[in-house]
Amino acid sequence: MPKAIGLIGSPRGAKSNSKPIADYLLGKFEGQGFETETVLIYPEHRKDPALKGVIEKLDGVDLVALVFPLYIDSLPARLIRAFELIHKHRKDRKSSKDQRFMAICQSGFPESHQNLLALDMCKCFAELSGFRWIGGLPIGAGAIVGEQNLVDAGGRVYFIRNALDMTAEAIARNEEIPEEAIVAASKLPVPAWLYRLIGNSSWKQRAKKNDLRKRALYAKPYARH
Amino acid sequence: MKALILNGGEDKSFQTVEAALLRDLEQRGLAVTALQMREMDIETCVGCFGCWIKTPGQCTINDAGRDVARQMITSDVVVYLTPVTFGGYSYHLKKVVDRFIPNILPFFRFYKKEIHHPQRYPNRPILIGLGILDKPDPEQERMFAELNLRNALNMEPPGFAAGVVYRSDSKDEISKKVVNMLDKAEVQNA
Repeated sequence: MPKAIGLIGSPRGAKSNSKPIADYLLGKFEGQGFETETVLIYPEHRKDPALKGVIEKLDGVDLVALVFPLYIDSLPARLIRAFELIHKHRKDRKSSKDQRFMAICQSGFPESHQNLLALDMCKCFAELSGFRWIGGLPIGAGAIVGEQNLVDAGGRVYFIRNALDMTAEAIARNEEIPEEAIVAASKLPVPAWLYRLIGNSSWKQRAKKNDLRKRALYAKPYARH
Repeated sequence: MKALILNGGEDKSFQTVEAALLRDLEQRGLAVTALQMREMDIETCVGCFGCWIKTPGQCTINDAGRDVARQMITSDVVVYLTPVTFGGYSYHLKKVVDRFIPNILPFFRFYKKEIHHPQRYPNRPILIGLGILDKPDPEQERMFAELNLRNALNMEPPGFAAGVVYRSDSKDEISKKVVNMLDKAEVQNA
């Protein structure tokens, strides 16, 4: 039975927006006869020795589906560390096994193109580390996902489900992620101006729960004197 | 005027490049601090957003990462010195770059036709990204330049430049590239 690993690169681990995306995709893979496993880079693998098990696990896998949030235009630090150590382990390794690697990058910005550079980095890693890159999905406005199961999340994640469905179907045919899936992943359920309005209101509400008014959010503890 | 070099190298092999940077920045009258990120025990960002909605402007993790974030925003020039790692920054550099989000605000605004976060501070440092590669690699060099450009969109520095040196470069070549980058970023004499 072929094996697929869902690698979650979010520092928020099981409570991230990345986890439900991986869960949905792995569910599709199971339907295609894959044995699946979810691996959280955070918090279980925050230190280098803990990553050893992940590195070895990847040696025997047929498909890796990485899901992660955009962090300062790139990958979260611990995910970069995982890449560095996986690459070091695999660079001189001879293997005839065909191992596919795909990635999904989601970010709080509505423009999905802000994620493309991070996906290029994943492609670079995959190709230098002996995986076969099969494509990436850029998802904007990732906060829309929340921690909820994608099936229960309804219409607001319709485009994401659609993109994942097309991706899973392409993988079943041993094809790369199709352009249609990338286009679907890039769609927003609300216009960018409305997303911005909702987002700004949400930050104020979350601060209020900590007894902070809007003005306090502009604090400058490191202002130059 | 202060300059901060964040050295994200895995070992001491970047000393020639760091020395060239130190010399050229000091020649321009800046007081330079160089931090070896591999030697600093800094926790990675946990994505809690506490630095925006609990303790605005300050990370909730009380370790050296807080101090580096302060040093970063109060410097006039900041240099990210890093091995180009899959087109981006090394782990040792990125662990602290991720901790810089307290220096911006949580809100969204349109900036250059994209949504970005507004700046928390009116005074920000010039940013310079200096990557090191074993040999020429056009694709990784493109990604590294784009990463620095996108960082500049998000951090709005008053000047920025990015470039790479190769491990095979001579001291003179490294020195020329460093001077060109500082000139491009408009690092003026203090």
